[in-house]
Amino acid sequence: MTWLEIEGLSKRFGEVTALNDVSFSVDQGAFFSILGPTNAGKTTLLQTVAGLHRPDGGEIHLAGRPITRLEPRVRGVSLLFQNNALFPTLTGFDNIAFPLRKGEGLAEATVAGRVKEVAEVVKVPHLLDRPPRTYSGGEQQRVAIARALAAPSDLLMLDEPLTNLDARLRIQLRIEFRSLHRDSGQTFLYVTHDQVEAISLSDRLAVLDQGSIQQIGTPQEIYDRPANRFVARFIGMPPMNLLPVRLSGEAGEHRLQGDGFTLPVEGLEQLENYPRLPDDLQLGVRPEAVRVSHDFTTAHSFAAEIAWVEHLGSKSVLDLTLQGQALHAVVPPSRRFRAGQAVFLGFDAKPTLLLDPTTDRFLR
Amino acid sequence: MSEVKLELASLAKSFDEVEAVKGLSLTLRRGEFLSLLGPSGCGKSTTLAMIAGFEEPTGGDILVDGASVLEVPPHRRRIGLVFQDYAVFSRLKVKANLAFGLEAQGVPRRERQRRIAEMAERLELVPILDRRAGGLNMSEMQRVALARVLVTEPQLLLLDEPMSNLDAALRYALRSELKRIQRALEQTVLYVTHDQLEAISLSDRIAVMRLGELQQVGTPEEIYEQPANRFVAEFIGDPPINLVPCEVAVSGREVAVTTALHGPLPLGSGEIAPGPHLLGIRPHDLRLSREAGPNSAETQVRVVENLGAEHVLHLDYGDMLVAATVAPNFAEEGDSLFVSLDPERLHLIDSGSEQVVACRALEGVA
Repeated sequence: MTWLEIEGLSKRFGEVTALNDVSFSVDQGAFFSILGPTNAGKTTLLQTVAGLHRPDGGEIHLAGRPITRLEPRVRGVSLLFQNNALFPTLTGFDNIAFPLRKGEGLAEATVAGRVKEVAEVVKVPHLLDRPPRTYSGGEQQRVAIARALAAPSDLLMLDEPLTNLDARLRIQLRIEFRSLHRDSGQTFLYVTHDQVEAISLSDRLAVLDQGSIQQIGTPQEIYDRPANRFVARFIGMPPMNLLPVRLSGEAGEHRLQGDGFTLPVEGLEQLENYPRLPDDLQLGVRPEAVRVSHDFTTAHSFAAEIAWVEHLGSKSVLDLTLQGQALHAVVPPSRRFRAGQAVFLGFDAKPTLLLDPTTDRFLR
Repeated sequence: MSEVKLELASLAKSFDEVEAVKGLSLTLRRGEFLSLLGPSGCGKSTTLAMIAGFEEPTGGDILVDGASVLEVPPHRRRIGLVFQDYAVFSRLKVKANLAFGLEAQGVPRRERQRRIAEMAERLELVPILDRRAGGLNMSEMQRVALARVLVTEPQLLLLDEPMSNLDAALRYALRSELKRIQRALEQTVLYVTHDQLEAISLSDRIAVMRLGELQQVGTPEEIYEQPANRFVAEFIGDPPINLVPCEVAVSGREVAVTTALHGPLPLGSGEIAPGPHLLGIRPHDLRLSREAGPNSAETQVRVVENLGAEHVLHLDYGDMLVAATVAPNFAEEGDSLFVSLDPERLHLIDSGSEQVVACRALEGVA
């Protein structure tokens, strides 16, 4: 069931278009992320949903009611920021209870029950009696999350909540966010510039760049079938290889001719505009989909050279040169590969990973 | 030739009550790329500042080519420094950026021009020599920052977290370029970072520091495959190593471990007291299967983290979860799997000393 619906949202600040006709919908109870680089418009989007900005155009519906023109405090949204200032003189308990006591006139027993409940979920029961200055960075963020969860709301919005934490803690909280979301049953709208967070946490996500939505889909859809060059290069590390190819051949026998390789490609008939496809294309190949071998075989037939190897412990990244063009491959950890070696590559062509360089969009 | 370029001998630095660096001994060979790796507050930047001459040690010595440099003022040490974000002069042309250090050293004009032309050639800056640095992309910026320092022909190049504020894609691109330049020029480099991935991918050797103390020095492979202690094991690797409680039984010198799901597993001969200890298991060292096998135990997938190129499964293991990296779509949340351990890929950690205990394989056992 659609819970949050955003339709044609636009926002300008003077000459700058922060949001350009943004539309998407989020199901009830879903974890939905907005992913994009700095200045993509992510935070403006959150703040517009929260009511901190008035949009120049567009409508927002939450839980079946229009909220576009409502005051922030009656929109039923809760917002968690990057740096959450806890009240330094209040205990953990009073910090978490703060939004519950504000105006609602709840019985103190009800407040206490709710605080204990969310403290359990976020694993901070031991911090309830202590003030924030005795907390570590991670504990502060946990209590801030508890405070955001405690207030009854239709939508919990999180703005880069893990950005300022150190790497270890970020990984740990990332995992916990998943359980937290499931246990709370809340609808989450999560904003981040970190592709790993967005991909690992979300049920669905929207990729935003320069105020415009680039693609909406499940993490796997976005990783496997990016819509355009921006999404393909922004998601995945190292980024997707894009190799120039020329399309030739008749139906059923289509071939892609690249520099140093020729590949058969099937299923082009399913693409829109077939058979009027551009001749000059770029083939997208994820680094982990590149097969590398020292030996020439039917599955490894493109002669290449290893320019550089990064051994990263759990995997090795190879910088390869194939007929003068650079490409990356990710292989299981191996000491067999060294810079300067001649190797043979193999990879396959998928019709949905053919990019039209004149539009920068993948064929569909 | 593995001739020693830089030697730190029991180097120490205290600020009032705080011991920032505690008796650090380390050597750097000519042409070597060595990283000082550790979390904030580990003393890595203080060490760098002492080598550069900005801080005076409270103990120990710093030797370059075998001679102490403690009495040599910073500008005479012939040490090149590159800081965070590369910090080039954005209003100056690239050429002027490159000339800056040489002018400060009083290098004659002819010689300056010759060196700048040569460095610009090697670092592919010729086409942009007349552009203002402010308009450069980050790859050009990195090369300008390096060229500006390298042109002064430092005997040692110190880099202090130069990439720490950049996004992941850019860091990836800059890393391989930096390494290529360092190799080509056979430049001796000391690189300071808190990013384990940077250290692993760039370094010939890594020195891991914590709270002012050296934890381990070794090649990236040694540090990853044979961590010396719990701190190093946990600091290196992403996703982080799993630390599973285990019970150690010792018979003679033969060590066997039992965990919530596995064991007793013979690990070989080693020095450890019987009792509760920790077993470190890297996420890609867990063996997973749909079918039961010898020494496998059944477990459930609680959380699947999709990282795009791979998935991380969080599996029930006694009363905790362990992480395992697998190919995408290997399993879903709620699936039952069978997990087994490879005794050769386990790191036994003494719960008292927190040192990793080396276990040697039993005679006659494959």
